Amino acid sequence: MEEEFVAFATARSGQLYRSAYFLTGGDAHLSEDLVQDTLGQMYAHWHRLNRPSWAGRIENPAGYAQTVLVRAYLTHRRRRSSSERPSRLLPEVAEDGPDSALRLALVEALSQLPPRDRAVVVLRYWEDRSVEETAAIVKDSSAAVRTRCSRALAKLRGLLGGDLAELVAR
Amino acid sequence: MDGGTGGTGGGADGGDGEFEVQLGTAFGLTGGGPGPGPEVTARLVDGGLAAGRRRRRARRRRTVLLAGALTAAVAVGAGVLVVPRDLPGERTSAVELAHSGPDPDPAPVPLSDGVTVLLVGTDGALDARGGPVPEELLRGDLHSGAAGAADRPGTTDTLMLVHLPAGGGEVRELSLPRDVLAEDTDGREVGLDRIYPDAERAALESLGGDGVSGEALRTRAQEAGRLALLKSVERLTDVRIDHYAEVSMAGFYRTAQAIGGVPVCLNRAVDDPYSGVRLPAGRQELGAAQALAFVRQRHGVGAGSDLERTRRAQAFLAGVVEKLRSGGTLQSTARLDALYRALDGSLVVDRGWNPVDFVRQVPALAAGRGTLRTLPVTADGPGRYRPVAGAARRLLLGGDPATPAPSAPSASSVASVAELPELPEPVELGGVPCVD
Repeated sequence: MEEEFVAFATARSGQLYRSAYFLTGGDAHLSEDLVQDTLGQMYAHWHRLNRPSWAGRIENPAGYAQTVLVRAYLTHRRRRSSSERPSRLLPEVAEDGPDSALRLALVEALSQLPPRDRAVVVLRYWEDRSVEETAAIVKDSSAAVRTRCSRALAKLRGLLGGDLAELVAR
Repeated sequence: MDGGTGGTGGGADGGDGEFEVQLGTAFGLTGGGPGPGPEVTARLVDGGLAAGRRRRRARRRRTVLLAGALTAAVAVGAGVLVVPRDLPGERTSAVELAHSGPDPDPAPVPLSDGVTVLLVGTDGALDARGGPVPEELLRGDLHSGAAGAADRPGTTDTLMLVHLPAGGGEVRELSLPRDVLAEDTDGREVGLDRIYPDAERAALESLGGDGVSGEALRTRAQEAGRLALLKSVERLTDVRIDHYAEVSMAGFYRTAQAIGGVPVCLNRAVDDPYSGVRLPAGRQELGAAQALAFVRQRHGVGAGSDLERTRRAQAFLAGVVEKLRSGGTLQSTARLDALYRALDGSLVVDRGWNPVDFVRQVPALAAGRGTLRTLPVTADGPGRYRPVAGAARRLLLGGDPATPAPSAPSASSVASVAELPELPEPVELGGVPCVD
C-alpha cells in the first residue's frame, strides 16, 4: 500500500507543485508546504481507493489530489488572511526551461489577483476544469465562478495583454 | 500600470475569447517544462509521507482517547461526566432486559441515593464494534496470550461495581473477584468470570442453529452474555445495577493510550515473563502496554491469586482518576467530551444510560474522594470463594463498612474472612497508592 502511495506521490508531486506555484502566486515555500499537506491527506485517505463506490471510493486519485490542494490553499488563505505574507519576492524555482520568461510573467500577473480569483483562474485555465467542476472545488456557485473568472480575466488582460500573445507566440 | 497600457493595445483586436485561449496556451506551455527537480520531489514525497503518518496517528489517537478516559472516567466517574446525549459507542440493552422480566429484582436504590454501575473488563481481542484490536496489541510485547484468538468469547477478567452517591459523598468501588462462585442462568455454580463467556457461547450455538450469522450473531450472543452476567452479579451482591459499561482488552489498551502515562506506585520491582510486566519499584507512569500488563499480572503478585490482582486494577484506577483529576480533565466538560468521543468503538454502555440526566456532578470524584474495596469472600475449597452475605450491599451502598454484617450467615464464615491473608486492603482515591 505504501509503495503504491509513494509511486503515486512521486508521479504526481511535480504537477501538484506547479499548481501550487500558480495558486500561491509564486510562493515556493508555501507551495512545498501545500503539496506536502496534500500528499499527507492523500496518504491518510489512501485506503479509500479500495472501497466500493457507494462507500466513498476515490475514483481518480490524481484529480482528487488537485482538489485537495486547492482546498488546502483556500483554507490556508482563510486562516492567515489577516497576516498575508508578501509573495513579491519570486524565489528561483528549480526549473528554467525555454518558457521561464512566460512562466515568470504569468506568475507575476497571477500574484496580483485576489487569492480566490486566482484559484478559479488556475482551475479553469491550468487544470482545464469546467465552470461546474471549478465551482464544486471552490464550493461556490457556477455564477459566482463565472463572475470571478471574467473579473480576473479582465485584470490579467490588463496586466499581460499583448505580452502574453508575444510570449506564447515565441 | 505599464503592462496594462501595452496590453490594451495588443488585446484590442482580439476578444475575451482570444485572451482566454492565449491564457490557456500560456499555462499549457509552462506545463511542459521540467518538474521541480529530483531533490524537491523527494522532499515533497517524504514530507507528504510524514504528514500522512502524523495524520493517521492523530486520528488513531483521537479514537483511542475515548476508551481511555473511559475506563477511568466511566469506571469511576461515569456519573461525573457531563456527557453529550449523542455519546458515541456501542449500546447494550442488558440493563433494560435484566429488569424487565418476571424475575424478582434487587430492590432499586432510590435515585436520590445515587447510581450503581457495573464495569466489566474482558480479555476479548475485539473492540466494541467487533473490529480487530490495534495492531500494536497483537505484534507488541503485550503477552496477551490466548486472548489473541479474536473470535473466542472473552472472559470477564475484571468486574467492578461503582456506586456514585447522588448526595456528593465518596465514590465507592467494589471489585468482584473473578473466581467467586456465582449462579449461572441455569442455577449452576460456576466462577463469576465464566458467566459471560458461557452464556455467549451457548447463545452462539443456539442462534447459529437458528440461522443467525455474522455480525448479528455476534452481537446477539454478546448481549446474552451481558444479560447473564448482569443478573448473576445482581443475585450475587443483592445490589441493583443501574448501568453497564464494558471495555475489552483492546479498549483498555486504547484507553490507556489516550490517557497517556498513568501514575502507579510499586512496592517492589517486578519482572514477570507471563504478563510481560517488567517495572522498577516506586512511583512511575505506565504506557499503554505496561498498563495492560500491570493489571493483568497474576504470577508473582502476593499469593498469586486473583484477589491480589484486583488490587492492581484498583491502584490503576486510582492512578487514572489522579491523572485525569490533576490534568484538569475531570473538571472540564470539553475535555471529558473529547475523551468520550475518543472512546468511540472501545466501550459498550447500556442504552438507557443518559449520564447527563443523573450526573450533574460527582464532586467526590473531582476531589478524589473514594474508596476501592474488594468483595469479602470466604474460601470454600481451593480456588473457590463465596461472598460474605450482605457484604456487597453494605460496602457499596451505605452504612459503616467497618461494621460487621448484621446477618452474617455463620460465625465460621466471618472468621475465615479474617483468616484470608490475601484479602486486599482498601485503596483510597486521591493519590497514587503503592501496591505489591
